[in-house]
Amino acid sequence: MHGRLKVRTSEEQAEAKRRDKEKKVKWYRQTTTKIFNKRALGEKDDELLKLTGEVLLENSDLSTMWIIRREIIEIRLPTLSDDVTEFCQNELALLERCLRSNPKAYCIWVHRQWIMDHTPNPNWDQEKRLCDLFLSYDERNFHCWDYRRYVVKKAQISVDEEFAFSTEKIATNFSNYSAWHYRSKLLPLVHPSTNEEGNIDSDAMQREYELVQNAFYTDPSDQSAWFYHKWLLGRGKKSLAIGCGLIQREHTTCVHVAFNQPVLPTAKHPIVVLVNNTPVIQVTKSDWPKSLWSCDLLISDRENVSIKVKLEEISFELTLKEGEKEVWFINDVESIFQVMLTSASPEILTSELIMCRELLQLEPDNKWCLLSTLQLLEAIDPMLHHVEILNLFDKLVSTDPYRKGYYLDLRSRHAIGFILREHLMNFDPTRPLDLSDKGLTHLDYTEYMIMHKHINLRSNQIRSESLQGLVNFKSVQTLILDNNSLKEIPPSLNELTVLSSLSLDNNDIRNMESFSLLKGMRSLKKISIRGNPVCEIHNFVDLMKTYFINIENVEF
Amino acid sequence: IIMGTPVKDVQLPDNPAIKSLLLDKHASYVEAFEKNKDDYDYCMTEFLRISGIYWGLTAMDLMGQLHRMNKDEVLEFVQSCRHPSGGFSPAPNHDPHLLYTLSAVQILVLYDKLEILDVDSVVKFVTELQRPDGSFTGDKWGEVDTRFSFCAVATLALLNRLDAVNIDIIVKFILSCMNFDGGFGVTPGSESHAGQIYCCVGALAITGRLYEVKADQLGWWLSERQLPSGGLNGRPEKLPDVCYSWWVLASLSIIGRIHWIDKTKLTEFILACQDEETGGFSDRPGDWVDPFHTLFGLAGLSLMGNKEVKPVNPVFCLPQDVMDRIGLQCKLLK
Repeated sequence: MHGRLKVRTSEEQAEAKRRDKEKKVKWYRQTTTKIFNKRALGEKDDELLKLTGEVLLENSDLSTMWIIRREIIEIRLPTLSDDVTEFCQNELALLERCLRSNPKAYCIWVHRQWIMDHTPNPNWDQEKRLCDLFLSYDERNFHCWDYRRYVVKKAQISVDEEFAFSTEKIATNFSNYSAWHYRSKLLPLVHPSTNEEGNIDSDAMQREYELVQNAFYTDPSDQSAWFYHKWLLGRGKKSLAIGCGLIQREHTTCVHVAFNQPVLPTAKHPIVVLVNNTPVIQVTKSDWPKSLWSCDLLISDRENVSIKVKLEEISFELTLKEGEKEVWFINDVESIFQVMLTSASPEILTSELIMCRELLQLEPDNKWCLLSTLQLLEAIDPMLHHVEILNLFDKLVSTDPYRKGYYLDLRSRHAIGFILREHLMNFDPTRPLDLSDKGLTHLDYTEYMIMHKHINLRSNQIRSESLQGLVNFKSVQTLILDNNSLKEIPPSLNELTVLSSLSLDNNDIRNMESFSLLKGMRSLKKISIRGNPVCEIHNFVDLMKTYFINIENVEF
Repeated sequence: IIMGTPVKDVQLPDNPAIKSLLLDKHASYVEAFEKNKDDYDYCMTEFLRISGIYWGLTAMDLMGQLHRMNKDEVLEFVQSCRHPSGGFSPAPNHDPHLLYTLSAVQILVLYDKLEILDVDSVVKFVTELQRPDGSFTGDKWGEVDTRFSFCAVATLALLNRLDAVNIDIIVKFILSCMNFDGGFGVTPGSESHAGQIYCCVGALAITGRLYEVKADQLGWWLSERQLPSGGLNGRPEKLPDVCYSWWVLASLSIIGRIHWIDKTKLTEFILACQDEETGGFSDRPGDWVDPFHTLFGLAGLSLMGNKEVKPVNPVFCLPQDVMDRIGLQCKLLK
C-alpha cells in the first residue's frame, strides 16, 4: 500500500503479470479454504503448519495465520524433548524470512515475541543480533527498536550498556532520531541527580550539551539534535502562586482569583474561600484545569469583611471595607510570564546562548538556531531582550513561512506578556491597556486582564477562536476591537457586565445575527460599527436599539 | 561546518490535470473497488477487509455519494464478521480484533444500523482486553499498542458505553507513552509517531482529558512534519505521505493548532497525489492508489475547510453530520 511506484509496462508484460496474479489468487483461495476447514475440524497437525507457512511466505500480513500457528505450537511444544530447540529455530527462521521482505509488519514481530516468550531455551544473544541486523537495514524501524527493548529487558542488559549503544548509534549518524529518543529515556536512569529526584546529574548534562553541540556543528539542519537540545533545556516546573485577584461588589460579591498556571482542584487539594476566616466555599473537583477561578458570595456590604482564597500552601487575603465596591490585588507578576520553564542553570543558559549566537554567524538563516536563540533569550530575560526576541520572530516568519502560524502565536504571547507585565508591575486600572497594532494572532494572558477598565485591541489579526478570552475582561468599560477582520461579534462579549463602550470599526461584520446574540446587554451605551458591511442593512440602527435597551449612541 | 544532509522529500509533478479535486473520479474508483474481488491486491488485503470497507464508505459519504454503495451487501458482510466473543474480524474465518471491531461499529454508525449489534457482547469483548495497567491488547494474544487504547474508547463512545471502563487508568497508561518531544509512541518507551499521536490525542479527547497534552510542544512537533513539498511526514526524516494529512492534521485540529501548518501548500500536495487515470489518491505522487489514502486525502482536505467535501470529525474520522445524528461530542482544545 505504501511506496509502490506506478511503472508503465508493455502489453505483453502486463498480460503475463495478469495471468500470474490470477494463478496466485486461485492458489491463495484454495489454500486458505483448506486451512480454515482444517482449523474448524481441530486438525492442528504438520500439514496445517506447512500450509500456513506457505501462505505466510506469500503474505506475511495475515495475522490469523500466525495465530493458527500459535494454536498448533502451544500444544506441540510441551510434547517435544530434544527436538524442541530445532523446532523453535525453524519457526524463528520462518519469521526472519518474512521480516526481511516485510520488516514493518506488526504481526510478525508479535509472533516472534510470542515464540521467545514460550521457547524453553531462549537465545537472547541471537535476538540482539537480529535487532542489530534489522537496525542496520533501517535504523528508524520502530518495530525493531521496540523489540530490542523487549530483548534488553528479558536478557537483563544494563541501562549503562544501552546508553552506550545509543551513543554509538548517534556517533554513526547524528540524524538518528530514534537513538536520541531512546537516549532521552535512558539518561535520567543512567545519570540521576543525587540531590533532586527525577532530575539529571549536572556533569552528565554538561556532556549532553557537548554532544548536541557536536551534532549542530556537523550538520546545523539536522533536526534530531535540536529537538533533543530543547528537551535538555526544558523540564522545568513553575511553582504555584497567585498572580492577581479582584473582588467586585454589585448585587453579589464576586471573587476572582488568577493563579500563575492552570490548576485542577481535587478533594485532597481543594480551592477554599473563607469569609472572616470561616470556609464558605470549597471547590473539590473540576472537569478542566484553569488559571482563573470565580465565585459569588452573598455578603452584606454594611461592614468590613475579610475574604481569603486558599489552595495548598498558598493564599491571598483581602479586606473589603464597608460600602467598598471593588478591591484588587497583584501578587507574583514575574512567574505569570515565565514560559520557558528550564531546569538549566543561568550559567548553562548563557553558555548555550553564546554557542547559538556563534552558530548564527555561520548560518544566519538556520531556523532551528534562530528558534533556540529566541527561547534562550526568553528563559534568560524576556523583558531585557524584548526587541531582539521580536526581531527573531520576524526572521523566523520570513525564513520558515510554513510555520508562520506557530511563530505568530508565540510572538503574540511574548508581545502581550511584555506590555502586560509592565502594566501589572505599576498597576493603575484606569490606565488603558494598549495592545493595538502588535501583530497579535492569539489573545494570551486574559486571566490577568480582569482588572483593566480600558482595553485596546485595534489593528491585529486575532483569530475568532482566540477571542474566547474576552470573557475574562471582568472590569472592562471601554473595549476597542477595530480592524481585526472580525466576521462576527464575539459572543463572549455577552458576559461583560460593565462594558459601556464598544468599538468594532473596520471589521467584516455582515449581518445582524451577531448582534442578536448580545441582546439584553444593559451596560452598553455606545457602539461604533463604522466600515462594516452590516451598516448597509437599512434598518440596522433600529434593530440595534431593540437589542441594547440602554444604548444612547450608534456610530456607523 | 562540514556537510548538510539533504532533506528527504518529494518533488511535486507539474500536472495541470490534477490541480483540482477530481471528485467524480474518486467516487467511481471507490465504487468499483469492492466489485473487483478477484484482483490480487484486493485478495491479499483480506486481513483488513472490514477496515477497507469503512475507509471506502466514509470516503463516499464525505463526497456525498454513500448511496452508490451496496448497503445490504455491506451489512451482511459485517454480520459475517461477528465472532462469538463479541468482537469482529476483518473478514469471515479470520480472528476478531479491536481494530476490526471499531471498523465494524463505525460502519454501522454510518448506516445508522447500530441496532443490529448485541452491544453488551461488544462491550464485553472490549473490556476483557484491558490490562491492569490500563493498556489494551488487540486480542487475547497480548499485543499492547496505544492504537488499541483508541479503538477501545472510540468503540465504547460510539456505543455510549464509556461507563464500562475506568477512565483514569486508561489515561494513566496513555500518558506513560508520552515522550521527550510531547508526542506518543506504541508503548511506554516507544518513539513518537504521528499515527500513535492521533490515537492518543483522540483517546484523550474522548475521555475528556485533553488538558494533559503538552499542546504547544506537540503542536510544534506536528507542524515540523510539513516538508518543502507541502506534504506531511509521520516523524522526522521520513518521506511525506497523504495519510499523514489525516494523522497529523486531525491531531493538530483536536489540539486547536491546525493553523500551525501551511494549508495552501498541503492542499497542493494532497491534490498532487490524485491519479487522474484511475481516480483515487496514493501515498505520494506517482504511486499506486488505494482506498486508505483516498479517504485520508479527502478527510485532510475536509479538515482544512474544503467546501467540496463534507465536514469530517477529527476524533472519529466520520462525517460530522453522522456524529451530530448520534449526538456524540468531545470538547477539543482551542
